[in-house]
Amino acid sequence: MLYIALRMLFGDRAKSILLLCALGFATLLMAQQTSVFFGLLKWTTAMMRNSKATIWVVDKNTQQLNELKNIRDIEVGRVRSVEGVQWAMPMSFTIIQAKMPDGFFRNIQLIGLDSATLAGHPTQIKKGSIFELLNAKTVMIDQVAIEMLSPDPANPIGVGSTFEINDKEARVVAVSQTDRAFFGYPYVYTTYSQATKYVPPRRRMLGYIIAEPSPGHKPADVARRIERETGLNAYLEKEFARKTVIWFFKNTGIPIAFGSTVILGFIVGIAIAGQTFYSFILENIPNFAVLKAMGATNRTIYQMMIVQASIVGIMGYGFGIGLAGLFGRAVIRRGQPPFSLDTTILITTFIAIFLICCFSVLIAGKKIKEIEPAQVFRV
Amino acid sequence: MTTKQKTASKPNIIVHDIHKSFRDGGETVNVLKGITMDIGANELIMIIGPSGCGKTTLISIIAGTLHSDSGFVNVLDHDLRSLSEEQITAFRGNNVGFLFQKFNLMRTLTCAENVALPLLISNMDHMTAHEKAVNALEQVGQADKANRFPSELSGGQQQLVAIARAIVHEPNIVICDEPTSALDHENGLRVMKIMEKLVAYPGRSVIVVTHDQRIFQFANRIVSIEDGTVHSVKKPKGQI
Repeated sequence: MLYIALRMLFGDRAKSILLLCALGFATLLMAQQTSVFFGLLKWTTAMMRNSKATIWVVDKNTQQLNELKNIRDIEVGRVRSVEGVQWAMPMSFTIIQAKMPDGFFRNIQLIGLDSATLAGHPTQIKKGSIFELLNAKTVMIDQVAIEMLSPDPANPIGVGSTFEINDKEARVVAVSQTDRAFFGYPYVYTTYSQATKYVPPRRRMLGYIIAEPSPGHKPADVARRIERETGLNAYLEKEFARKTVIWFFKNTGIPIAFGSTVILGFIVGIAIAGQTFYSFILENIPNFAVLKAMGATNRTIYQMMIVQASIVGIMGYGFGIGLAGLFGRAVIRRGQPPFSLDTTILITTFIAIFLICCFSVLIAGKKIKEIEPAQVFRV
Repeated sequence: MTTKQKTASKPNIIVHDIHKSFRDGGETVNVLKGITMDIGANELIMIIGPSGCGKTTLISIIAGTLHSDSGFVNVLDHDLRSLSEEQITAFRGNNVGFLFQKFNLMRTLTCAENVALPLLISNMDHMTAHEKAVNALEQVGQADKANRFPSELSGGQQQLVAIARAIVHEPNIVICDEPTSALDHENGLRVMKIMEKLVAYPGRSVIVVTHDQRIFQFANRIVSIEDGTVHSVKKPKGQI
């Protein structure tokens, strides 16, 4: 009978295509919007993925990764003195303008790495040598910088190009591959000492201290110890990422904007799929009455409906995820908007589609229960 | 003793003093008011009467798709009033074949798939059901239509396919509701000639509700119902 159920469903091409489209587009809306949303949130913690460190130490009043309250240089020494800290390095973060050869100014995110060790540098170097950064007036740019800072796209900047930061020369010695930042500005890396020359002098120049616990010490214990002994906030990578994401949830309209579209996708899915499935059942009442008269139980007919809803749900889901994937491929190639279609989104969207199908079966199932086999002589 | 091994002496269907009423708005309408009749094996009974006289209600009760309010309904040695919903559904599936005025074939299924439905409902495997369906179509001369859809057939051909569906599971009771009223004279006769052959199947009874006087000649008995009671019983074909 399950085969018959599918024949009934797909025999009605218009209805089955409408159902597939409804579920497919509901899936697409939910998966695509959630992926862009999570991609956007991922951008907010891009810096942490570019500069790997187990512990991030920041000022007590720093609320998230991208909004810093600078700390004093001497704090590096204080963190290093905490028991269980293997090493601690300074890192500065400044959004500043760069003057390009064409005379235009563009914003960049200037990261100052420890002048001796370059700790926290991106691991993927596409061109040039990171060690060249140890020379004065040198910088390493990322792939976004090539796209955004090149005055002429036909002649992109690269190793050997120069521009100015705060009237001081910056010579590109390497190009790295980084995760794109939430603000959209390119990352430009230099040494901490060079960064202090590019950035107008301030009393507190240091953005973060990145640290690594000694072998045998639990990172969480070391972080708490740093907090106790220095009065600064010390976070494990995941803790700081979570704090940053929560900050964006609470302080921006992004979750509401994307959330409302996702909810809309769910409602549209329920409305169209539920209505279409219900009308499919209504149109098939004479057939179901005949089946009941011929000895089909309610259970058999429910099973048929569940198979119909499941198959159309799985196909619609696959169709929608496929479209979302195509969208993702296209945007990942372009670099934006952000897109992160991970397993959680796949599972959550599947559950949402499953709920839509359950709802459709429930409302249609109520109708099936009402069909009397004696109706067979009246329909 | 299984249903299909029934002795010929005992009627297949015994209906005694059955009553049935429906609520219509605030009013109770008594549709059947003490119907009594029996139908033997290899008998083709026609039930006639004006609209609303209770014909359809009577065959619904005999077919087990409706319960009577009172009275005795015994079909193939089963007291239908004592069966649970599940048992009566299984009973219908095994013993009753249906034929409708508007054929009621599923338009999205091929003729063979339509015919195989009663077998698939009783969980027969798809291949065997398909084979039996083609055999049933052969019996009604429509084997060449097995892979065609109902919409590709004429009304007469559709009704023949519906007959194949009604007999594919070899039921002992075949209930027909106005089987010829949607057909022209020629097709009506064609359908009834096949029905006549079907009655010859051992132990089978065929009940036909009809208004179509053209087919009265095929009946063994004609039961006329008026106002919920049996008005008269006639034997055409010169059998009186």
